[in-house]
Amino acid sequence: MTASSQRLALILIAPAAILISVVLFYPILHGVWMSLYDIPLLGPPPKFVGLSNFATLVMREDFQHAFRVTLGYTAGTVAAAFGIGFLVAILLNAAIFARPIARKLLLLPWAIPEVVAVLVFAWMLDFQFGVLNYLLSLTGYFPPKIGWLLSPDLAPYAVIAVTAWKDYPLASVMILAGLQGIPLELYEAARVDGATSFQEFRHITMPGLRPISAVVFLLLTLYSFKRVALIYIMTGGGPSRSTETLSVLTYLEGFKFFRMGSAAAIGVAMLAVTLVFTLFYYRFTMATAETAP
Amino acid sequence: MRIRHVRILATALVALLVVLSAPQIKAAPTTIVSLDFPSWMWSEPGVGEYFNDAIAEFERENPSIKIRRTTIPAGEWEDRMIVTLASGQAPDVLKLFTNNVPFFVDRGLLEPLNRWLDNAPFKNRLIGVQKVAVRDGKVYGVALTASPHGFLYNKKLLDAAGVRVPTTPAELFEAARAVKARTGQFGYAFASDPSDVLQAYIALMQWTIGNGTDFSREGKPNCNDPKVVESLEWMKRLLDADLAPRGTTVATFRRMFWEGQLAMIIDGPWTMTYVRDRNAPLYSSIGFAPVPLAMREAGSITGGAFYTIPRVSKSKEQAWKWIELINREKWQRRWLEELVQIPGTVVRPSEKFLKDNQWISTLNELAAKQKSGFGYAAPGFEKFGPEFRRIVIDHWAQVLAGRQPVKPAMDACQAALERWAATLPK
Repeated sequence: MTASSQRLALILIAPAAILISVVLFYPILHGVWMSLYDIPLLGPPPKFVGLSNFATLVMREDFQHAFRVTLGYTAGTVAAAFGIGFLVAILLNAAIFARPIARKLLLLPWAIPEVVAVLVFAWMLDFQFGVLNYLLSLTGYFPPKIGWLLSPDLAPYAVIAVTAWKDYPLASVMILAGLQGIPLELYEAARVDGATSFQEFRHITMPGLRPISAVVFLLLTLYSFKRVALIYIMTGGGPSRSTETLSVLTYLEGFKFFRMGSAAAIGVAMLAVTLVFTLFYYRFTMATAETAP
Repeated sequence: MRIRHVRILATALVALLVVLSAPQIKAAPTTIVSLDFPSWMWSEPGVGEYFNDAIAEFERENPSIKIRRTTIPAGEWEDRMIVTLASGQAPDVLKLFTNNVPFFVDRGLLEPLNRWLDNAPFKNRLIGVQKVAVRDGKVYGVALTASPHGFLYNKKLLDAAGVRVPTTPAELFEAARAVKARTGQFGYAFASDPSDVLQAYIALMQWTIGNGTDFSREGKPNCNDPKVVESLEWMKRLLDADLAPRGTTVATFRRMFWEGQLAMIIDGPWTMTYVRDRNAPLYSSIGFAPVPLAMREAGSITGGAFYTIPRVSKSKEQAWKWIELINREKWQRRWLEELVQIPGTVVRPSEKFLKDNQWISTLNELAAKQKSGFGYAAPGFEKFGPEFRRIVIDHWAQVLAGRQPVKPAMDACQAALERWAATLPK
């Protein structure tokens, strides 16, 4: 490519690049700026406080609690969504009866708007009138009414289950693509060598899915870490803050308690955590890929 | 030469993109003024039609003004309006709950209305709650309605259960038990879904204020006051005995009430409108009484709302025209006689109306006896209401989940509120 061609290329992509940069980076930079100020909504003008918001944050019990809840929620959601997505992908990859219809139905959760799905699940899990409690009570093995969204012990699992239901199609679509990218000759060769199905799975399927699995894990983790609408609509961060993740706390801090500077500080802290996680994750997956047979 | 042509073409394309991205030349100013008027009331049964009709008349009389309606749920109203005003995008007509008015006045967000109100034909007919919007002689709002909470009951269900209208918590409990046993319907309900912090807190306030106490006293937390604990223990007893549905939202129990599946609730007069509009045959069987708690007439939440005009509104004159229209006797009477709610001005009801709605005299008595502006924030913590409420409901949720009895939960709540209050700016 000549120098003039390169210049032309830069000129042509410049408007889009500038627009994307502004849309992408300006909110982040503005959020960082806000985190350095005490900004009460509808109060006196913003006051510069430096890193004071961050220092206070680390010592706050509710921030530490939200951090722990976020870790638990993210781990649970990623494990469940990936596990279900993996099984569904295996199923969809097999030559089963009515595969085309099965593919559409099993990917339906992805198509349903999040708010609609949450409202439906909230009704299904309702203590008094929910269909889940009704069906469970018919078995005779469960108490007549279970407070799925009322109990601080159960609400986190309920939220994880709904999130996993919403997210598994993403995992299954990507893993299915990975499965279909593994050459069939490898399986044929393995069968000729007398490998069992489990050995084929362990030595061909799993290594073949490693790159795509790494991406799926990362995406699911990032999505879960920042999720707020699903949790807030379902439980409001309760009961007793049992589902109050960092994202929910950010929303409450900014739009319920009107402390915008503090909310921005939580947002910046979350950004830092996700950046560090992504960095270490990629280094780990790259290192694993290099040492893989 | 070909490459040069390509370069020229590419440069021309980029230039065209830049030009097309430039701000559009503003069209000539329109003569139509658009009044931004959000409300939680647009979709309420009866009330929605009332406002639609009033707006139609307003727009006929003022063809150069169009009202733009936005629906925002009541539970989100306070937060959304605060954020909207903070962003500088205030509506032109701003409805405020009564207890929010001082908050907005304190921050200089509302336009004084004296220059219009002094010449208004209805200025001497405003109801007593109007004083909430007056500060240092300036009037910052016009009362839209006053809404004392009362005790609504389904006479048919009580009669089928063979019980009278209760006047004490113990009678309420026994009445609820009899209703459940003999009719299969729930006897009582209140908002017990902790995810809706505001409504869950209002339910607690109905009982605590009804028993002559509150979650704060003289600007200090008061969670483990014996009367607060006693109030909450009654509520828990109703849940544990399955006489009140657990985890219920206010929308659900109101629906249960107007469908005749619930015998008793504490709520505002709007629920009477819902019954009349959604299940007219049931309306004559619904009664409205003082709450069956220690304070009776004197101890209930008095909600209500005001019309205000934000200081930053660009259409203040037009906004005032709306306020003037809605305060005409025709619309005030319709608010009273069709929607059976207390209007912002004094209206003498017709004899027929009083005969058909005998409970309205109880509503007026409650409004007259109760302190105006009893709202949804603990006294002394109005500025930090959402956070205060959340801490209380976090601890109430422990009780709802059966993890803690009321007393230890409220002791923990008291300690948490005291720690939190110590961090507040003075």
